[in-house]
Amino acid sequence: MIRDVLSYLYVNATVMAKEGKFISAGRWDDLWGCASPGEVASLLEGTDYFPYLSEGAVHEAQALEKAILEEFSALGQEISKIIPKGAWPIREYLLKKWDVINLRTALRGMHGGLQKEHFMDSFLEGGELNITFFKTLLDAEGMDDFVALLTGTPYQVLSEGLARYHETHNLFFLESLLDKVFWEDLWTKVLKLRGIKEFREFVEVCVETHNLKIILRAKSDGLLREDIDPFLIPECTIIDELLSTFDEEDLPGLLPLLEETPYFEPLVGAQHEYERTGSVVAFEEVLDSQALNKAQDIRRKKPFGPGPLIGFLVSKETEVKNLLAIVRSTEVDLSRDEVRESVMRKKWKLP
Amino acid sequence: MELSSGTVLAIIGAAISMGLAAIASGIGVGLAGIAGAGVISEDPKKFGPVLVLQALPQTQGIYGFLGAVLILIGVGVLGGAVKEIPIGMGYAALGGGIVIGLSSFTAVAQGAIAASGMGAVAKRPETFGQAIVLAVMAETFAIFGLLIAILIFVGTKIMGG
Repeated sequence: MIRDVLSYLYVNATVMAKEGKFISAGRWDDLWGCASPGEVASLLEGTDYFPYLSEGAVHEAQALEKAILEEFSALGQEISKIIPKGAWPIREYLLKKWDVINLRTALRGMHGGLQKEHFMDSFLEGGELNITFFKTLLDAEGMDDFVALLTGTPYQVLSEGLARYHETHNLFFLESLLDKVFWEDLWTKVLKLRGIKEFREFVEVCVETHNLKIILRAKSDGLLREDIDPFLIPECTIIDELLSTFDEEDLPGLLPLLEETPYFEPLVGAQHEYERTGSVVAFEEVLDSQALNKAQDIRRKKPFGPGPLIGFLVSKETEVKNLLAIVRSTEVDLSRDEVRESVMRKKWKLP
Repeated sequence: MELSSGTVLAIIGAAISMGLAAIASGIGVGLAGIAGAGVISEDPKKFGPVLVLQALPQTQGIYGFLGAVLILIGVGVLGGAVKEIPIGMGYAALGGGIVIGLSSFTAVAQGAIAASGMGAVAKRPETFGQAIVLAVMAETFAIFGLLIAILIFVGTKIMGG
């Protein structure tokens, strides 16, 4: 107890001070109504994002997005330097995240057939892999070539999703494998550790929601059990029953099997939206919000250990996601209410 | 100079009073200081509130010092003429020193509360008053400890005898 209090005192005080700089509720109200990147940029004055805004960020959504992510990346690097030694998985969580973000950017560029120059500067520092590595990925001539270039990295398992990608021409499976590599690696490591129980609980929720999203999406797409095995993270007991009856039940029939878990109520709550739209996005959104809820719960229950740090990291990520949603909305000309609704629907609670 | 057993016990009481209080206050101030450094690294303008909160666990150290001085005056170590103290009175002085020293450990909890309070103030400056009140609560028991010690000293004539 005392060791936890001592080792996290500095980092917790720092992140609490940083929380004081979160975007205020009043400023969010103004941000919802922004119609251009310039308006968003002007409202970011006085926040931690402002020093990262280039001249281009005022005119171009892509530059503004990059500035926001740069601030987030710099923050991750700063926090990773002051995290206690015993909490090294949290440091890995902070750093490896940027490898996944950069790979996702490259993957989407490749999938969309964008020109190399278009997203050459989109990669961000902060991960364990070098930026030049991501730039070399852009020289790939196709998705097969792209995945081949990942040989020797933890992400070479993307090759297992290539067949499904070519079959459906849907990035979901390759992106799911990216997430799988990230969370599985972290999960394996935290399972072996005695300490940082709170972080293990958080990762557990992320692993469970990852698996549930795969199962629900696969069921919705009419896939078979054997098709989804490569995408699932092992050592996750809550999906055992789902998998044993996966091929027999339809999607609504799978939900009651989760009755004993904390996911049952939110998923049942989203069932109406799923039936209305026919899209599993409704389920995915409530599952995404579970990680934030868990982080906030840990924060409340463990104010002296890693709780405040985990709560801060997830709240900050939520702030960044909300900002990115607003910036992207300026490109598609959504109304204030539509933007607000699209973000609020995801239950990303504002800090 | 030959010292009576009672005098030696009283001096040990003074040493315990100051020694334990110094350790406890040191830990408390240290806890608050670590958190304070974290807050200031992010927002140097918060130095004022941070300093006030960091100072709170120092008071237990002052109580320990006060208790030690009272004992030392009582047995004449301060003042030039060391008195022959009966052994019973020596035990009483030792007891007074122990109660002050042990109750000073509330400074550790106070340091932890002050550290959390600094985080709260960094996040919401308007909570400064509440943060102080919460931290001061832990002080109550150190004050009780000091009061009991003074009652022991007065009752056994170490003070005013």
